[in-house]
Amino acid sequence: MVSPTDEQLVAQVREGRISAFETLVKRYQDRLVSFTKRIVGDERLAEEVVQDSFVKVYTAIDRIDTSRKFSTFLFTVAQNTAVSELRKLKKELPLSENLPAREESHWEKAAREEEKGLAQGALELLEGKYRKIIRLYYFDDLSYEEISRKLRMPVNTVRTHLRRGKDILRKILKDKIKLGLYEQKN
Amino acid sequence: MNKKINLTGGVMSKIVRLENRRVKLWVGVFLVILAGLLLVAMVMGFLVWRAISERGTLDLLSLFLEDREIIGEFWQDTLTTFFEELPQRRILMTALAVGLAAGLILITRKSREVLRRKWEELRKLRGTPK
Repeated sequence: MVSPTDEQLVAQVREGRISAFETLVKRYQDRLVSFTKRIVGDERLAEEVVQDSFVKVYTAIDRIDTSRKFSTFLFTVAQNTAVSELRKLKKELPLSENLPAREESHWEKAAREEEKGLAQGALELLEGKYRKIIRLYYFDDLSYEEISRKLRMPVNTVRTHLRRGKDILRKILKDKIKLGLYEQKN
Repeated sequence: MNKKINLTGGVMSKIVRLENRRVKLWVGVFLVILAGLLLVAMVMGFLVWRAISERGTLDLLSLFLEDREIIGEFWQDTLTTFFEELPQRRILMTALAVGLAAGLILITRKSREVLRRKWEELRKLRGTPK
């Protein structure tokens, strides 16, 4: 038996068949939790964010643009929810008067986590070859030569991909920050 | 080691609660509007009937039980008087209320069908016996 496509399931949900949404949840929950965990850094928080994201998607099911892939919409909602959650964390954590002057305060830590989350989320949107090289260079601390040997490509190609990847990442982050500010306002 | 993720129960219970509220709200609003329109139609209809009874407007139509010649001579005047005596505003309001109620039932036909399916699904998901 062929399992229904996402679009068929969305159509069924729109017709009132709520149980069709359960199939979508089962289909995407694992990937979505992994994706969100990279942004928020905590598995339990990621699960909460994913639950909220699914409910938000369900609430908006009648307004979904069916010309776009359902998974794209779902992951976008999850990403935005994760970033909002990190921002809320930043606002809720109180400043302590007893903190030593040099130690990073809770809200500074949360702000850094939010930025890290934004960057990681943006990284996921990069094309595979750029993403791989950026990870190897910035997260694994490999040199150009080491990356070139690992990926079996010329060093100059590594340099070019890294530069291109950084440019695209910069643009994605700029757009995400603009979108985040827009959502905050609304 | 990959932990098995199972958020389905949590997500679906939130959705069931959300849909319960939505369905009840929709049905409530629909019934209130429909009841309101039917009440207006009934009240206006009663007022129309009372006005007609008090004026004896229907008695005018007894002309049509008379001979053909008499009908032929007086039918136009009789009908003109008949329509003039009718409480036209109240009849219009009655017709409007009935028309709106019928329109509401017609335009919500698809929504009611979706709602009926949702309600059946909610019963299954909540585990309520039929």
